[in-house]
Amino acid sequence: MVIPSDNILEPKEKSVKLDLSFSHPFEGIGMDLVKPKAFFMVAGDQKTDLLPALKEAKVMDHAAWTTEVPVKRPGVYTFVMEPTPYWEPAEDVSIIHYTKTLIAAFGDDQGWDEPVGIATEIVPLTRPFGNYAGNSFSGQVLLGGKPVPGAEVEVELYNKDKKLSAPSDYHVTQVVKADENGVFTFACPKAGWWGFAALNEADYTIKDPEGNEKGVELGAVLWTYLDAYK
Amino acid sequence: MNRPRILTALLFAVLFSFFALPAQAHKLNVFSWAGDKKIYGEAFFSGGRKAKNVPVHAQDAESHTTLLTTLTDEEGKFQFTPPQQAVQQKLNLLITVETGDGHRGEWLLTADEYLSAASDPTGAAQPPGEESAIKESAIKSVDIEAVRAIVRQELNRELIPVKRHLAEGREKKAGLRDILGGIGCIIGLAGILAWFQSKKKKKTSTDG
Repeated sequence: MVIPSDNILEPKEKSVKLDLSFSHPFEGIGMDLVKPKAFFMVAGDQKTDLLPALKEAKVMDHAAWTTEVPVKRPGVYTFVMEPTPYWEPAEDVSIIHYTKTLIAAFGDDQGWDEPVGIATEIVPLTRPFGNYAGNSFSGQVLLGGKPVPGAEVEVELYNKDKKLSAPSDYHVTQVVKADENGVFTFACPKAGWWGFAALNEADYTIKDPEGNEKGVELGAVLWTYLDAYK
Repeated sequence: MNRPRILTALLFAVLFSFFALPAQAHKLNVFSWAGDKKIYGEAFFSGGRKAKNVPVHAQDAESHTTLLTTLTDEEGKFQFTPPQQAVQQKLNLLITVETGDGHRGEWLLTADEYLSAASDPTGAAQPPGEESAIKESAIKSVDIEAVRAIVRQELNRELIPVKRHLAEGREKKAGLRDILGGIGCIIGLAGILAWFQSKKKKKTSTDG
């Protein structure tokens, strides 16, 4: 998870705090996040490496990372985390969830529809800021820069402080499928941070802790905030 | 034979549709920062268009007394020397831009920001005295990091127009309206072409 302190910066806010964690967002179950392989910010054609700025932190009582990023000029800023591959014995695969979130600062609203060019990502088709709870959200799933027809997208609300409970396990993670162009649409019923995760199998393998070549699950994760009416 | 001309016509038509977009209710934004003894800024609409020739007011943030008024240029940019009164009394500046149709944007530039910009080595620019002092010490101690910082700073400054050009290039995307306009134009031109060709054919057939 990559969750900023705010996704819309007003002129008096000169920085944004980002929390990087590894968890089941609805159930509030944390896991340790080892230091990511990469963490950077993209604004227009400018890329800023934020990996050296990461400090250790705790989220849901587990190892996490945090940093405060100064924002000096108007822009749409995309934050991208590439985690270190995580070996999941239960599923017999290594997991790499490329995680992205966008913030808008000081009135600028350009460039949110551009891919940042990572291995896999969800490119927003709905402007990913300034949306209300109940709005639908559309995005396109890209793998290696190409749309993924029929991609399966898992959707989960970040149930902060475990305020909500689900009527059944099915409700914890909702699922929507993309069309032939990799485009999906999902209506988010509550205000809060919504995470969209499109999972695909990589065309390469990674060694498990015992040295056997095993499959890799590549995730394109996008976090976007929907506000309640004031 | 006629193709290049048609392409040119089409290009004009598409370009024209950019300029022919009606004025929309876009939000007006202003962004301002302090540099070498001057305050710089830009005004732009949501959607990315620059706000040209728009009045800019620098007000005392508390009393809202206007201390200075200027205009944005053709690129939506402006700059001014901080008003003496503001510097002496360390006033926070509320910088506002306004268009005639009620659009308004504001930006708070605190006294700290514009008074300290001069002494900040990472700032956009510095007073000449400080700059040369840093350069001198860098040369004397051959501090690679300091040299690197200066180079980076100079490079950044040189690259601003280039980056801006790139940024502007990104913004000029064809919207649905432009695409539809373009298609309409193609159909129209194809019609004209067909008409000419049919005329030509008739002509040749009567000649032959």
